[in-house]
Parts: sequence; C-alpha cells; structure tokens
Amino acid sequence: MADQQWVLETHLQANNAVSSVTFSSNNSQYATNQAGNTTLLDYPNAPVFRIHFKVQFQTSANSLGSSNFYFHGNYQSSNDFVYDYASATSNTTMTPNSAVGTSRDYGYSTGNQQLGYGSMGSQFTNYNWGTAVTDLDGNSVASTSRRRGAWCTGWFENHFPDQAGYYPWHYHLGIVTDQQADNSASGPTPDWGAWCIGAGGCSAGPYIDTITIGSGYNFIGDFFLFRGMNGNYQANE
Amino acid sequence: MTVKSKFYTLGSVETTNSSTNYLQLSGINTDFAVLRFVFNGMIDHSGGGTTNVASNQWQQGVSIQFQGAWTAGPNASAAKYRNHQCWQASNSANWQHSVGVAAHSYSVTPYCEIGRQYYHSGNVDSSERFTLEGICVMPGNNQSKQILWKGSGTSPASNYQGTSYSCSGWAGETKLDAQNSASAAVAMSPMDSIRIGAGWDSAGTPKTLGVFSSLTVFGEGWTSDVQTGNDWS
Repeated sequence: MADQQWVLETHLQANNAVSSVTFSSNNSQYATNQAGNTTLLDYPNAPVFRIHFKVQFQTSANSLGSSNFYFHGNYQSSNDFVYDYASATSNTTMTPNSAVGTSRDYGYSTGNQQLGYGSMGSQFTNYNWGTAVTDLDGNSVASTSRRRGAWCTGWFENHFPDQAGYYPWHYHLGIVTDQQADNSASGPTPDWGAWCIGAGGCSAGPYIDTITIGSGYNFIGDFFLFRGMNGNYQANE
Repeated sequence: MTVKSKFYTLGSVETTNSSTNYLQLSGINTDFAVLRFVFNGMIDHSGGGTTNVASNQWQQGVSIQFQGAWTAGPNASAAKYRNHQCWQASNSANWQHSVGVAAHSYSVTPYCEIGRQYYHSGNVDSSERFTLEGICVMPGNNQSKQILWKGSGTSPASNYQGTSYSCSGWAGETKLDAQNSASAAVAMSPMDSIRIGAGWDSAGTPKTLGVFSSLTVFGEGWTSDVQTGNDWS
C-alpha cells in the first residue's frame, strides 16, 4: 500500500454533554510515511482541513437560533458567514412531498461563524416516542435512549495554502428526525429536522491552529479532523 | 484514544448497460471513522420504452436504501425510512426542500430519494449525468445512523431550458426511523450495505440507470473509541 495524502489527525468525543469542543495544536502534529519519515502538518504541507461530525443537542428546542451553534479558529473577531437553511425557524411544520423554500442568515465581523439554524435539539417536545425495542445484540433500548435519538451530521472544510490569505470555510449539515406519530398518516410534521449549507471566513487573523465548535446548548457527539496534504506523506495504517 | 490514518476503497460497482435498476454494495467493513458513498451516473429516463416517464417534466432522483432494508433484503421489514431532500433549481430563487418522497404522502417511506431533475427529451442525454456524495459518521457504532448527502449535475439541454428547468445542486439526509418498532433495531446496526437505484415511475415500474453509472464506498480513518453493545442505554 503506497503512502497517501490524507491523515486522520484527531478524534474528539463528547460522551458527556459539553458546551464546546476544541481541536488544538493542529499545525504541530506530524504525518509519518512507511519509511518512518515525518512531515509537519503545518499550513503549507497540509492545507486542507476537513471536519466530519455527528452531534445531538440536549434540548427540546426545535430551532437552536443561529448563534447557538458556531465555530471559530484562533480569532473570535472579524468572522463573516452566510448560509442558506431550512429549520423550524422558518418552516414550523413540513408536509410530506410538499416543497417549500429555504431561508438565509448571515453576519459580518462577528465573534464566530454561525450555523444554528441548520440543526435542532434531539429531546423533542410533543413528540410521540415509540416503545422500547430489542437491538440486534439482545439489549432492550428505551425509546428515549441517546442511541435512538436523531443525530445531526456535519461537514466543515477549507483549503488553506497561504497564511496571508483569507481562509474560506464552507460547511454543510443536516438532521432528519423520526416522529412515531407519522408512521402512516399524512399531514404536517413538526420537529421534522433542519439543514444548512454555507460559507465564511475570518479577516482578523487567518489562523486555525485551534478550532472551537460550540453551542448555547450542551451537546454530545463525535468530531473528526482530517488533513489533506500536498504530497504522499502518510502511511496507510 | 488512538486514531489511525486508515483509508480504503471498500467496494465499487458499475453498470455496463442501460437495463440496471439499482447498484448495491453489501458486506461493507464499518470499522472506520467515516464511510463516504459516491454515486456517479444518470437515470436513463428513456427507459427503452418500458417505463411511464414523459419528457419535459420534472422527475425524481435516485432511490437510496441501506442497512439491508429493501424488498427481499436481509432486513426487508425494516424499510421504514426518513428522508429530507433539498434542491437548487433555476426556477426558484432559493433552495427548495421537502420531507418524504414524491410517490408517498406520508413521512415514513420504503426508500429515500434525492436528485430531482428535469427530463428534457426521449433521448439519453449525457448532460443528465450527476454525482451524489454522502457521509456516515461512525458507521459501526450502536446508534441510529444517518447519511448526509450533497451533489450536483444535470446541465440544461438548451439555453432556454437553463433559465427554468435545471437543478444545480442537491442535498439531504437519509436514515431509518429509530422510533418505528419495525426499523429501530436495524437503524442502530452498522451501515454495512447500500442500494442506490433509478427509482420508480408513476405506475410503480422501476426505472433504469444509464450505462456507466457507478457506486463506490470509501472507508476513512479509524478510532479506538466507538460505542458498542449497550453503551448509553
């Protein structure tokens, strides 16, 4: 197996609810190839930052509010962002196979890049939870178990070849939920989910050696930072 | 916690004709941080005259099923899906979105669907080719799984049609219902199989994929910390 261009640099796991997670020292770690040679994961060698995650917000709010889910690099100032979204903020209910338009939110020179309208809480109110089920391993799993809660999946990415440049994050996330009451009936569905796609950057200082992802609501989840390099510097492990 | 830079192409399948209804990958290794699914191809709406697909109409995109939850699949009875799809069409100023699928009037459906497109003519048109890419984070853990999708394709067949009848982007989320008693247990099982098909016409007849449509799955990264068994119950 040849050396490759991608590294999984960090896994952050929040099994207990937290208000933020932080990827730190992103540019002082190393890739190692099959020959044992190391390459520093700095901006020139590893210009692509790719974050994949899944998250559950521990709230019954079906709309988080834009600033209640955010991220930023080293600087908490001069962040700009814009994103198109679909959420209970603008579409309180959704009727199956009935198309509606999305909305847009943006900010200029703020403390962080926001995407709260693109997600929602996973502890739904007025929600017809199902019954306990037995999983394939024989364990009984309660309807409200976090194992069965709706997860929001996310993707942040940028390409950072030049520290003097204005780094362009783009991001995409979404969550679709599962209301037992809608098993067979048609009709509007509250707490249906949320989604967004957007972009942003920071002009104060384009450094992302530290990346913080936070919320006004506590959350659980798994967050992975991948780095794309400009050469085959990493052994396939 | 330990992470490894483990990256593999785990499976790939491609059509060699225009009579294939779906592409399927099974037995996918889920011992990865992320699975990435890539569909590249088209729906052959000409259908060889076998399907009721009229030209110059909006058509639905590909059907998406996974975790063996499809007709005659190992988890056929668990085919209780949740779907949210988005599309950026040139006849609307902003992204559009909906829940469910076009052929069913309820929220829990027997498949998912993403990639609404305008079908111009009775000819196979290579401009109708498109790509969908999806990620599943922690595909082997003990929790309900979701795939986040985005994609693009379908150039207009003419300048005129480009003004109103093309889609430039798609996105969405697909999952098995984790509350429905028929699907909840499978929803928490590994994301070890996927089937992407051409969908069905208005009469319920399966449509076909265009030649050289492909489906590939990649495994990306590995972590030592994966919730298994009955963690978190």
